[in-house]
Amino acid sequence: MNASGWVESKIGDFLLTNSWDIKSGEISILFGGSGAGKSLTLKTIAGINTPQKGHIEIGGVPVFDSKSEINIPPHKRKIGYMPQDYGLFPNLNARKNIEYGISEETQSYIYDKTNALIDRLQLTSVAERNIDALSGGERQRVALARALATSPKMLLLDEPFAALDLDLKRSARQEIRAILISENIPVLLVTHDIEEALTLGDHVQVIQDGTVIDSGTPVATLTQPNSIEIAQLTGVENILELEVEELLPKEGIIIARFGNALILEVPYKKVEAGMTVSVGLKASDIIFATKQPETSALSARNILPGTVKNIEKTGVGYEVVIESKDGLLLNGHITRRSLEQLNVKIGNTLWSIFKTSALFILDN
Amino acid sequence: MNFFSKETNKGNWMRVTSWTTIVYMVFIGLPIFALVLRGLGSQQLINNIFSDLTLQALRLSFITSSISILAIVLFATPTAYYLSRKAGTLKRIIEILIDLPIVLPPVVAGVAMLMAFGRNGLLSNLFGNTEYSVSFTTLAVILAQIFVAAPFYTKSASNGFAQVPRELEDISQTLGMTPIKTFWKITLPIASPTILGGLALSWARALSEFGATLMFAGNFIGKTQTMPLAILSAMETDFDAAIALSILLLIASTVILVILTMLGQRSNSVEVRE
Repeated sequence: MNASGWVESKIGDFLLTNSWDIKSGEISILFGGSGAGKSLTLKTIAGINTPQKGHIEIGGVPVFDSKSEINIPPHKRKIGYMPQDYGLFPNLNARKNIEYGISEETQSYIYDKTNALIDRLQLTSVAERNIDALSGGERQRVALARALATSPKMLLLDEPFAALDLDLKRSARQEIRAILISENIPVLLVTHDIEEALTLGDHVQVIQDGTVIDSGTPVATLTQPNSIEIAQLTGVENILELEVEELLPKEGIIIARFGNALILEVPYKKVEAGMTVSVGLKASDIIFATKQPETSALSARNILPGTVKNIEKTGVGYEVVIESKDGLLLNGHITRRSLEQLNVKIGNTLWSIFKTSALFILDN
Repeated sequence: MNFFSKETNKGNWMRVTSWTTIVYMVFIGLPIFALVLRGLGSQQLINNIFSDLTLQALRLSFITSSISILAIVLFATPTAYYLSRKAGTLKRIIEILIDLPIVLPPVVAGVAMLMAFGRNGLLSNLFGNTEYSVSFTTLAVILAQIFVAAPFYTKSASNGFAQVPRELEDISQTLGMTPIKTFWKITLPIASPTILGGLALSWARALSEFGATLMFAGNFIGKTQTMPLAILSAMETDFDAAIALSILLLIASTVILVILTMLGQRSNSVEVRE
């Protein structure tokens, strides 16, 4: 039971073009910043937004086709849709929310099916509560139970973890992934969170300004992105402009230069000597040292001294900005313990160390 | 303490607001108190309340205002929903037309209705029928009440529907409910506190309708003489009867307001989350 299709939807000046093909039991991620067209894609598949052109098929049945003028209304599409902030009905309690969409059969069937879902999503103790008496995690599970209750042929989830705090997010992800996979239906999940895309997705599409700019497995597509746009979306902290000096394909490296003298080793990619390339480097891939390490005793090829320009607290540790003699700014992450033990202060000299493979050339 | 400190300013402001509230309450309360006092002082109060004239007017007022409210709910609810989901110039024009009876003097409304539905009105001329006209009948009383009372309901209902997030309706549909079922199961229950508030105001307005009724329906005992019109007639002949009628109307209006407010609060305990 696959879900596939393509759409072209124009709203004002915004044009969304997208296509997808998701197998049963597969979680496909739609990754992008706000206003990229992620939610609109879900609404279009659900039938809440009608595209100008397209073909949408769920379980082999076309629910939209612009050529043959098929447009099945949302209430007949059999799609489970979970919007951002969950959209629970405030006039119904948790149980009534869950059983809302179960249409067929007898009262006892509805009761049993609802109870099974309540059990499975661990909502037994809160089933009779009003919506405003539920915690964020409980709301999320009620919304998921409600979407699953109708036995949908496809599931659409819009930022399902955005409203949860960090700890809950991490534990909920694994539980929800297990539930989603056991449903054995195609799942399309929207997120702007790279960690979520990596832990939940089997496949990812990166969308920007209504257009898919890259797709593939989450690890390949998002951890070492191959375009500046995706590097910016996934939060790659350092994007360096380097000039290609020498190509060494046999060794699998490129020697690149910053400014007049600074030389870096970059993984090989087919470029031309003399051209300027953008190279990505994550802040978490930089190691700092207070003394100059011996080059011969270290496998990492890139070692550059610099002066600490700025130190800023982040959610988990500190962000340290180093400026090299040639004016190259590097942003590295460091824990509070390291910061204290190395006694890092603005104006100090630090050596930044990073492996060649931590660098990746981005397409311009 | 610094006189200009924020706390002092806030204290002064709160004192001003509490004083204006007291003056406001006295201004509204005093006439009502005076009316009740005068009524209780009258030896004929009970007799007057149960007189044929009073009971006839009461019955007519109750029946006509109930029919008016029913008609308003039936016709204005879909319109209110339509307005809550639309935007643009057409919506603004419709809203102005809906609000017009609120600012229009009721007497003008009565004259206008005569021009439209009266014996030589637009409709009878259009259909070439000058024999029958609704003016000066019980139906005219109902039409006059609908005309002046409908805006209060329509506005509240439209506001109530507008507060229901569109997204909830979308989700309901993805869960297999048709738009009409969604309206009954989600939109209407969530909007009901605001709608009931409007219903109370609208009913009270229909019950107290005077000017338009007098012009369009006249003042005939048992046929078009509602409570407010009966009070007018009684003022000229039997002052104590006018007092009794006034107290009765006061009680009826208060009861409607209290019951519907309470119903609204009960459904309000289900909080709407934005």
